[in-house]
Amino acid sequence: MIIGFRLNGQEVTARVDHPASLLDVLRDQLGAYGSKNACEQGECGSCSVLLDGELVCSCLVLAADAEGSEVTTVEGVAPEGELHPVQEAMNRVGAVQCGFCTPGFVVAAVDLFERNPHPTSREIKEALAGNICRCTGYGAIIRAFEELAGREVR
Amino acid sequence: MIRPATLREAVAARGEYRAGGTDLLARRRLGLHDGEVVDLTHIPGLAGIERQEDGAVRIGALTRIADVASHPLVAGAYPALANTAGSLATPQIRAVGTIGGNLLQRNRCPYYRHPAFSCFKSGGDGCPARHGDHSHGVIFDLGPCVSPHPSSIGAALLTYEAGVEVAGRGRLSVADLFGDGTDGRHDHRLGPGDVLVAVYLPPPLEGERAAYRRVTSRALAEWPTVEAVCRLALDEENRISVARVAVGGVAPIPLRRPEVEDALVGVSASDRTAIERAARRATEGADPLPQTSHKVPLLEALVADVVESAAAGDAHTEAGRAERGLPTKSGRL
Ligand SMILES: Cc1cc2nc3c(=O)[nH]c(=O)nc-3n(C[C@H](O)[C@H](O)[C@H](O)COP(=O)(O)OP(=O)(O)OC[C@H]3O[C@@H](n4cnc5c(N)ncnc54)[C@H](O)[C@@H]3O)c2cc1C
Ligand code: SF4
Ligand code: FES
Ligand code: FES
Repeated sequence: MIIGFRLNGQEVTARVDHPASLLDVLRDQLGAYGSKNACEQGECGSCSVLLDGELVCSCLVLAADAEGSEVTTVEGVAPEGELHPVQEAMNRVGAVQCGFCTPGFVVAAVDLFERNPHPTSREIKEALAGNICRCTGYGAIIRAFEELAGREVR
Repeated sequence: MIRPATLREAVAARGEYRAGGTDLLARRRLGLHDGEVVDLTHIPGLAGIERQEDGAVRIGALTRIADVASHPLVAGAYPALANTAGSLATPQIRAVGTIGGNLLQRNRCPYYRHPAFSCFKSGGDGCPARHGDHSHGVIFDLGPCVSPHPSSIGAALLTYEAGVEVAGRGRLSVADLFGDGTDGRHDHRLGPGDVLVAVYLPPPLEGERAAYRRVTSRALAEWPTVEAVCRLALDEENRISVARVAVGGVAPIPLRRPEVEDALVGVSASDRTAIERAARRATEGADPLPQTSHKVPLLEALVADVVESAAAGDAHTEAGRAERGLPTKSGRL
């Protein structure tokens, strides 16, 4: 079956012959390597994308579900050559070590700040609960977004 | 993959049903399932929440967990269900996983989920966990499988005495959906062709209050070690007139605790000592495994906590929810 959807604003098509995940199609067919493949169990959030504006684990979503929808990956959160305020906040605080979890955190945080420009610390932690980082201990990540929450985002 | 357009086609199709797919796809990745997938998401009418003429609330089986958590009909009249739904898993999983899939998800035992092991649940004979690592296991040893039932929503629905509708089979109580825990091979009692259509919540009692609590090893997103749901009605003198208590993480099925319910009736909602005494009956009949005795005091304390929380009615206020670490509305949980 051939599916078509918009990936970061561009029409794309992919061939899915079995119940492939959206993550498989993004990485293996569409060259969008920003979404990471770590657990494929819904536990780590490194594969987080927005599917029609909804934060999901692309490893557990069927590619066929993307048919006709809009998928935003980390590559699409800001215009080419620019950074999203969420990415700038992470840069400023140094909230990145190995970087493997970073795309997932960026997408989850973009989703949070879209809905709620001034989240409390508790709301930040709740919104990022589905993303695991093995390096930073989360301190800097939470701090980056607390800082951002205190500023005007848009 | 088969994509039936009607319930009738879905009932006739052979393969494993897929709702949100968060459990099914995870198991396929582990090599536990490579058969046909029957996708239920293109059948109209299976998602949505509405009040029925008789005052009951119907939740379509394919309603997403996030919607169960935030829908005003659920959050208002069935707050323990809303809190349970909003507290489980992660935002990403709640956005995709469904109430039906939550009830019918397969076991989380690490042996079952490891392709190198075979056990009752994966079609073999024997339980490697019983003689191996079962620190996640049950304290009510009701059958050959010692892994706790995974469904948090199952426990909540037991306290609401909910029913489920299965295509071609009519209504079943949630208790009947899970059975008595003696069957080590299955996680529920539906078979091929049984499509779960909806969950029905009876009309709430006058002035009833409820709460949900879980013990986890990590603040958020972690599977509960034990969990408990309580629903109460109080009389004019603030005494408990109706009590419903169910627990999870401790038995091969979500487990109702009638011993606690009976002991609570007549107790003053502010009498902590009496509530704690009643809560200790939550472990009556428990038979912990060598590595699960820690769950006995945990469960007793948690049940006391959830009853006090329900009695205080604080699961119903935003401040009370934030205080107890339950999701608040602003978190869109
Ligand atoms: C990190 C993490 C933490 C989690 N924590 C919790 C937790 O604390 N508590 C908890 O309860 N769950 C937890 N979960 C599990 C999660 O809730 C389930 O994966 C989800 O509810 C499954 O729903 P689904 O719609 O995706 O199911 P699916 O994967 O689509 O289906 C699951 C099973 O149910 C069957 N099925 C589904 N719908 C129907 C239907 N309508 N009719 C007949 N059969 C059907 C399918 O055939 C399949 O066997 C967690 C998951 C993760 C990844
Ligand atoms: S506890 Fe249950 S699921 Fe785990 S190995 Fe034993 S039979 Fe299998
Ligand atoms: S790769 Fe999808 S959650 Fe880990
Ligand atoms: S920076 Fe390494 S996993 Fe998060």
